[in-house]
Amino acid sequence: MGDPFESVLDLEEQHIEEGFEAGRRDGLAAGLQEGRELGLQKGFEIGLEVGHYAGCVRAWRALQRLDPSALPARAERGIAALEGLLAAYPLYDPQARAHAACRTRPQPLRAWPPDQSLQDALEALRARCKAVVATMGATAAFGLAEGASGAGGAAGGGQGRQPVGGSLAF
Amino acid sequence: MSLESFESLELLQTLEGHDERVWCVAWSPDGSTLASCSADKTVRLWAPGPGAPPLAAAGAGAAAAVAPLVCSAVLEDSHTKTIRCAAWSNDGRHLATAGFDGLTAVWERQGGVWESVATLEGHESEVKCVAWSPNDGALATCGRDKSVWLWEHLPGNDFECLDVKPGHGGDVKAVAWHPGGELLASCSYDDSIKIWAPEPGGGGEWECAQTLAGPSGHSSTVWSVAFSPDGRQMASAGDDKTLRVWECRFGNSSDDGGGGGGGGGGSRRPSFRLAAAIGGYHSRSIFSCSWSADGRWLASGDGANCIRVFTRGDEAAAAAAGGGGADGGGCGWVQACAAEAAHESDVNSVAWHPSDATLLASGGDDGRVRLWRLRAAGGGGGGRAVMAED
Repeated sequence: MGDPFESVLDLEEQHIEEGFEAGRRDGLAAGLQEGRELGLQKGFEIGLEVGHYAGCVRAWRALQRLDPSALPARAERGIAALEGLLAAYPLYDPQARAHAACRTRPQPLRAWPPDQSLQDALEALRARCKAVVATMGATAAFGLAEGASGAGGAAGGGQGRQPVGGSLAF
Repeated sequence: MSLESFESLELLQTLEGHDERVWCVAWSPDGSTLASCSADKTVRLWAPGPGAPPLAAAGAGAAAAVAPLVCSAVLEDSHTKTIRCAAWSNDGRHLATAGFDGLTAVWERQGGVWESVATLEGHESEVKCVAWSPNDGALATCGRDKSVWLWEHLPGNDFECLDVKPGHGGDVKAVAWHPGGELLASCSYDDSIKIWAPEPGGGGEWECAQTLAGPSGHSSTVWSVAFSPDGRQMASAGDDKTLRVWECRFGNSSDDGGGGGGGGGGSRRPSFRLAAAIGGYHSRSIFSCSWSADGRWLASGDGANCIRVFTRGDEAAAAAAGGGGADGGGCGWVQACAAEAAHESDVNSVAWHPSDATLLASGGDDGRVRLWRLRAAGGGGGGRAVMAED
């Protein structure tokens, strides 16, 4: 027959455990919400920047169709490279690589390493755009000098940035 | 500190003229002219006066007399802010300058007058360094915007942006080309040195082939990198008061560092390795390092106003001199001599003459450019023409 007062000895630990569990549940809920908001914000910023570059390329190509001599020939290589990078950027399934990795080696959400490749891809886009703009000699016009607002480069004219409308499909 | 000083640094001349701190000194490839650039937004060229024997005259013996240098030209009205770095093209026909105004200017001597023939725009903030590739086919620049830019030098003083390389986590302080050509080193506020090489498979793109960081790397900002003339070694100067000497090893992508050191980068992948960490000599950040023309001497300029000269002695010399620094990782490198109070403030740049292996130039925060002669023990070698201008 067990000691009826045995549970009293564990009372503190029991309360600690219950508190911990309650905190974990609430934290999970709050964290998920906060994460979702942060994700939306960051996602918008990334989309805005990638969209900006896509818009630039579209404008340059349209310009070329109207007047084939409008852009320096040396810019062609850079613009083509930019198009390649844009097509490869995983806008619609950024977690694709992480998901694939998880399928082969399942691990809890919190153990997922941050995916550096997305950051690298965005940096590569940014750098390639700067190079193309420099090739055209338009660095000043693009407001890429220090003090320009925006994610990685201001839209021309420094006016309010409008997200590029329409499909980004290439 | 070395217990026996086998050599000494003798001050030959002090060149006054700049109104503000001198950031960089650079010798023309033929050794006839010294360029210095400054926060006063000008570049000054220094050469022996008319009628005086030219520097590095043919037939001059080691440690020959150096005629007094005078300011032969002032390049101005191009940069609107500090000029941080000046670099001669390897054919001596052009001078590139990097400025805090974000521009890189290229100058050409036309009929005895230096004219700005090109302006490279692109960096988003201060450009810290500029360097010509060994065949002058390309120009590399780097700056506070954390990027390294590669420019192609086309005929007719035309420059085209080849590539923009992000990757460094902070201000990129300097870039330097490997003497073989197809390799570029950059160093940064992010404590690392990056080695850039063309991407395998052609296409004209460059990639970061190696990053030197972590335990064998510097533990703070790396201010300067310099390749030895034979391309076998690379020195780096750090905020952590150490000079690091790296062995320039190359290997095939499948073979990890199997190849030995060598001149050309070619298509082999770099796998540089730390050969020596020289510590315990400098009491402040080391801002600049330079290899002598014969690869024997490594000079450094630091924030304690000192210029120090190191050499790779043999084991016995290293033991006699008390070892290569406090951490014992000096691996045979010892300090040959030093000029304490070489300038009245930080020494920003040191540069050995391209052919006279014991002639050194320095520039500092005190706005002065100084010339030094490394004297062998006993004061031997050549004439003793001390032409200090004070």
